[in-house]
Amino acid sequence: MSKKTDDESRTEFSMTHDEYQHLWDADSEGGYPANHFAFRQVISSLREAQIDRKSGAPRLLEVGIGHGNAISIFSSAGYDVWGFDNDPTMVAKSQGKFQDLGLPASRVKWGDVEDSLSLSKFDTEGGFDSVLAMGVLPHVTHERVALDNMRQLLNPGGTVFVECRNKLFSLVTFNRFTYEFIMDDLLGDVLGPVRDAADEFLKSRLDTDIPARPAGHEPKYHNPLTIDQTFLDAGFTNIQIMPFHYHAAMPRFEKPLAEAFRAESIALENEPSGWRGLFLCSAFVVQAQRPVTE
Amino acid sequence: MKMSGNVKIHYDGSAPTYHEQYDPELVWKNAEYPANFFRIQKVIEILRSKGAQSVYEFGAGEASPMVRIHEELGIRVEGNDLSPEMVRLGKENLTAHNIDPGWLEEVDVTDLDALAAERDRLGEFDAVIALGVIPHVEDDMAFVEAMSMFLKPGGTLILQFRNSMFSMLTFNRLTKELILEELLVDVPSDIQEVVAQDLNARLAVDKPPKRTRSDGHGYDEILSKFHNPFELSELVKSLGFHDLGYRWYNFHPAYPMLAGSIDSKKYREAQIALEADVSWRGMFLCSAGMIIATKS
Repeated sequence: MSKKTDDESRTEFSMTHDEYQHLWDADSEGGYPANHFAFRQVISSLREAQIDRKSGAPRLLEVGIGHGNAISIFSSAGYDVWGFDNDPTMVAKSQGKFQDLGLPASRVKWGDVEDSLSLSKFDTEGGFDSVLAMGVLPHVTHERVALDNMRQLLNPGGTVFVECRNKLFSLVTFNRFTYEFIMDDLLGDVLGPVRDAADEFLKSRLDTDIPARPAGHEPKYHNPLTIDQTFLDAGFTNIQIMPFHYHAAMPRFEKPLAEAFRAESIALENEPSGWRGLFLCSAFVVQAQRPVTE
Repeated sequence: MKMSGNVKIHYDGSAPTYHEQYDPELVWKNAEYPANFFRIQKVIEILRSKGAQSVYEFGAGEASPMVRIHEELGIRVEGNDLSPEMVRLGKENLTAHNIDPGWLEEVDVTDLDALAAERDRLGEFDAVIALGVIPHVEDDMAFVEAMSMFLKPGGTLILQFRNSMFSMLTFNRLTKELILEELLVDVPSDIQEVVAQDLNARLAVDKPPKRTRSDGHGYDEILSKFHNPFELSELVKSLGFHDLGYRWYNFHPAYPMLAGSIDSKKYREAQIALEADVSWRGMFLCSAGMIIATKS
């Protein structure tokens, strides 16, 4: 593929009408287009941020870039995209995607968000206006270290977008997550016969065997009502929560209701209440800013 | 803004025993959990931390909370109530505690002219509180505006409400209503029906029983609304308040419907132990809460 100018590439990367319609196609592969709705909110926030572009295109770094599926989205929005991953296979894949899009493959490097030394290779590239981390925080071991490192990669005033799995969603799933949330998070310090009664009651009302426990480590879930403190502690400011991936019914009905479930969940992604998403969404993005002066 | 005449009759009827909810002697003896006992402790703690020197209370009842606040903090506490019987007993109560009985006056908080006159007579206060009033009010916005009228800029609003989010935990009819009528209100009826059937199998949809009274004016027979804390917060913010926070009370350490089957002393011990919690958990473990906010 011949090398294209940035402007040509951006045109090519823009979402087409067909691609857009694909989101609503229940037969499409790959399940629910959750990330589409996350990116939609991120793009909207980036527009609001009005980064000063006098010194060239704004720069976005993706943590855990994976297959590189987000590269075209942010390139077409006018961002210079960079990325890293701790899996060499993913580094190679996303480097390939950069090349396919006529962008320098060297913008993707190997790196571990929990190891600042592995990220020092980005220090010579100048700071970033935005750092994006989708599906990263649920899997890190040392959350505070990961968040500190993300903050340090940002320019002062820059914005981080971090996806979290939503713990409060468990209040409407009526399954193992509900049991764990109520017994551990809500009633963790209630003991004795009162706890036993709650335990017995819940087991009789919930599907505590689903979802099955994963063979490896279980991803972490975060509480949107307390996540602001986690980001404040890591030195961020202006913290906002953006829920996404709505569910029009309990997850167990996703397969039986198929098309209807999908269509109605997609419709909910636009609901404006400001609070329903805290319970109906399985994920949320935390938007937070590195202070201009620290 | 309107307050039904039924509300007046309800509180006239409960006036003679109203003070029992605040009696420390009865915390372990009362059959009904003394939620209001913990509520007034928390209110006093907030007023103390804000350094309030004057308080105005909407729906002050027979003045038990006014007396407690005055005795603990030594500050001026005035208030109103719509129930003539509450006000009559309240004035007696104040007098018995060497407090000016003129601090409590009979005012219907739905009567804006009467409120404005009261406000002109008394001026603005450092804090305005309403405990157990907004559940009975039809027009929430007018009510919070009325509270704000009595408040100095920078002053503290304490607005109690019945917490609809508690329904997330009760596993009863209210849970079903919250999920179908609030969370999934925009979802088509065929999907709602699938969810409803699932919930019918899990929840005790025949509970809770209604709190009735032989004269037909029991708590659940008069207007006694729940409020969604997120929506009520937005309303308060929209009327010129900032620094909003919640304080929760009336904790439940297990499912309310289980309370009768657990050793009642152990249950109450667990309940009371939780009242010290100031975290987010109260949003789901508490049947009531208070919005604390500063007037801009």
